[in-house]
Amino acid sequence: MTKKFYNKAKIMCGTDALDMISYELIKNICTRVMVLYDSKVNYKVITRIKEILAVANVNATFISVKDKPVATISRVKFALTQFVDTVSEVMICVGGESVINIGKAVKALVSTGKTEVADLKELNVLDKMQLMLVPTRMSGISVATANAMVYDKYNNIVYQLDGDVVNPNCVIVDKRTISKPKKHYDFVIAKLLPLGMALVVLSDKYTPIYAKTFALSALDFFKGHISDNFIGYDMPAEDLFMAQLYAGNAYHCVRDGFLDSMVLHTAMKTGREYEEAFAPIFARYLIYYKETLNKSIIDELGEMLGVEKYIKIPKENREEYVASAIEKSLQMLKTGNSAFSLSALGVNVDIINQVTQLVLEDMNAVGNHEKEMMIQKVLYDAL
Amino acid sequence: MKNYYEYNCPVKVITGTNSVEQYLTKELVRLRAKRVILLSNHETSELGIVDKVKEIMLAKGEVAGMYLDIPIGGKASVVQRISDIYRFNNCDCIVAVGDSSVIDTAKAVKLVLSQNMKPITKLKNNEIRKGAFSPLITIPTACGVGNEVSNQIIIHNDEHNGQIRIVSDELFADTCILDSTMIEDIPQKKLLTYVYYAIANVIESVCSQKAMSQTARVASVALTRMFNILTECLENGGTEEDRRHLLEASSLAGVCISNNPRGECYAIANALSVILNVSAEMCMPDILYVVAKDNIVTCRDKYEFLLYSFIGAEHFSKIPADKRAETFVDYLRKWYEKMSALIGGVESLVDLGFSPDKIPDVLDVMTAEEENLLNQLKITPEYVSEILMEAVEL
Repeated sequence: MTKKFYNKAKIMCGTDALDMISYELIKNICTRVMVLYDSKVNYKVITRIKEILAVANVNATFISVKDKPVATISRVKFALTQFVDTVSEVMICVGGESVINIGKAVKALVSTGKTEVADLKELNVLDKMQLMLVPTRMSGISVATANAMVYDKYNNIVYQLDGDVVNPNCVIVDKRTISKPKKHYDFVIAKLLPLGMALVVLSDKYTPIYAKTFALSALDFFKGHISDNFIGYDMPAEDLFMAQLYAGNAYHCVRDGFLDSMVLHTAMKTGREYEEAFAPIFARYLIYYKETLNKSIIDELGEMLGVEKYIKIPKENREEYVASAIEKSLQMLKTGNSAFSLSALGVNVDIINQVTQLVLEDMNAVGNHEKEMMIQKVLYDAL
Repeated sequence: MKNYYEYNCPVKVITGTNSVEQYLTKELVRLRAKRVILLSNHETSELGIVDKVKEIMLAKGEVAGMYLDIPIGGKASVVQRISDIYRFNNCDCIVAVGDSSVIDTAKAVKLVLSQNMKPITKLKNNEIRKGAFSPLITIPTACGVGNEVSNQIIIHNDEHNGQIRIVSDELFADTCILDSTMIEDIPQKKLLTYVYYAIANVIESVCSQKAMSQTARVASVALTRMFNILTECLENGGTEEDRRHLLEASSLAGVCISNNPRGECYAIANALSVILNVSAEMCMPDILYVVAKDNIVTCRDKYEFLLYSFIGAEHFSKIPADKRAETFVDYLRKWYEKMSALIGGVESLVDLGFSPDKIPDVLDVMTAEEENLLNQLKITPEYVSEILMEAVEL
């Protein structure tokens, strides 16, 4: 069996990581830069980037785009035109997931020489531009991966761009730019995502070793912030973001096809973001996964809960201790969170049936009764 | 969160049995390579591996140049010669098949080409900028020591008898193909010394002051796998899958050192290799043990972390808290001695011809260049002498 690992994004992280932009630009001999930023980004961040670019002595154009949940075809076209017109060599995207997806799509278009997202086919080509990302929201899962999503709202089509060229060249995670979600529920979800993704990756015995290191690295960020469960405690925003970023990279290496397909089709049917649909489906999916938790990683998970405490637990009780910590983490999501269901996203029985059929077709598993039951069970539970 | 850290591994890693046959030409197409220069050494050629790779490449393009005589430790003059051949033959891609000397030489050639043919002896770490694109594909045949995915090299400067150490993102290969069939015929002694070299690399990178949590994690996964699988390979021969896992684990050593530059073990072993004219891998085991022991006080937490990873909670719980770091260092040595005994013994530094009177020569090699290794690593000649004296007494 052949496996591949490719993640060319340089991850620069720290309290002053933003300042490293000038170093990267000077090293790469860049003279023209376009900065695409979300209009809701704190002006202090943009001001700081202006100062940094001035130090690097580059010619910079700043373009602001409205804060919207998804990257649409028209927004990508607008950004592409600006990038070409300003003869830029580097695009720096500052903002949430939609701005980041716009940047990735522009990079794919420039590198393949295409002008329409619909024409993007072979994406394993060489880069013809540099893309630097400065995320500002707690959505790190797909920031450093080689995929992006662009929505064609007129034709109701979601384009999934997946290939080497979609990967950013640099991701800058600076304490000054990342903020915690304001609602407690969103914060809990933000913690569930990396935890769950890492567990899925670690539970798969075919996981490539590179993905395993990313998954364990994601869990490492929880150390010191947890005791008897994985997500019930506070932690700094930048640590949580890095946990998401690493877990996302790990998950991208193995990608659980069924889960991915379930989430994608549910999101499309309800017109929601991928991550919105991901959380409720994923929590239920994880309950099934917990049953098949790979025993070889029990000690590694125990380590996250605190080595000294963990090693004092009798050997025969350690597995139960870890399983209970996962269960407690999932319980936290249910308590007092009516929004944590697919019903809140507008999903009904009819949509579940349609999604089930689409997933089965997607996974080339039509007629597989066992899989159909599993998909429906997860989706019904998530309602 | 620490003040600042980076993670960078932009190399596309392809791993599997027969992956060279399946993916080399695809990668050449992706990198738009049509005129390849093939680099290797005598040993690899004699095993028939070079012919096999050449045949695969000929199906899709042209082998426009070859250099199959790369010496142990590489040489600055050889780097220059290969760069000239590359330019003269209008090559557009480098394929390096071999051990760490071949791969470091290929990386040095890529760097020289990207810096407008400025000789490797004149390049300074802080002056290197992104330059012309000369794609590089690395195919390790010696169970890797991580060089195939790292951003560092040490090349012997045969003009001054010194060593050039460069750390730069320009040194990253574009693709690395880890094919277990490439290490099928590797002698057991070599397998042990190469894997132990990779182990030394991961331990050194974890102990680096700049080490970030991910380096420690990558190191722990790599170390656990290397210990377990090499034991299996040397005790029972190992399977195809074992060899693939070993290649993958040792490539992770490259990820560790790319993100946390290697330290004194690496530098001393490489200087010794110049003096003794043997590979750096052969010199590493004795040096690693002495340095690791010396670092117990400063690296206690890191050793404990690594120990937990590869012995598991059950064994870990039975070791007194204040003895865990010492246990780790002892385990390192005892495991090596056990493996060495299994295959009929491996030469010590003394067996390789080292004696205390050669210490000044080693120091000369380490300090011959303007950007000398002692200054780069912030270590003193006295420290190096002490390490070498202790290593002799093992």
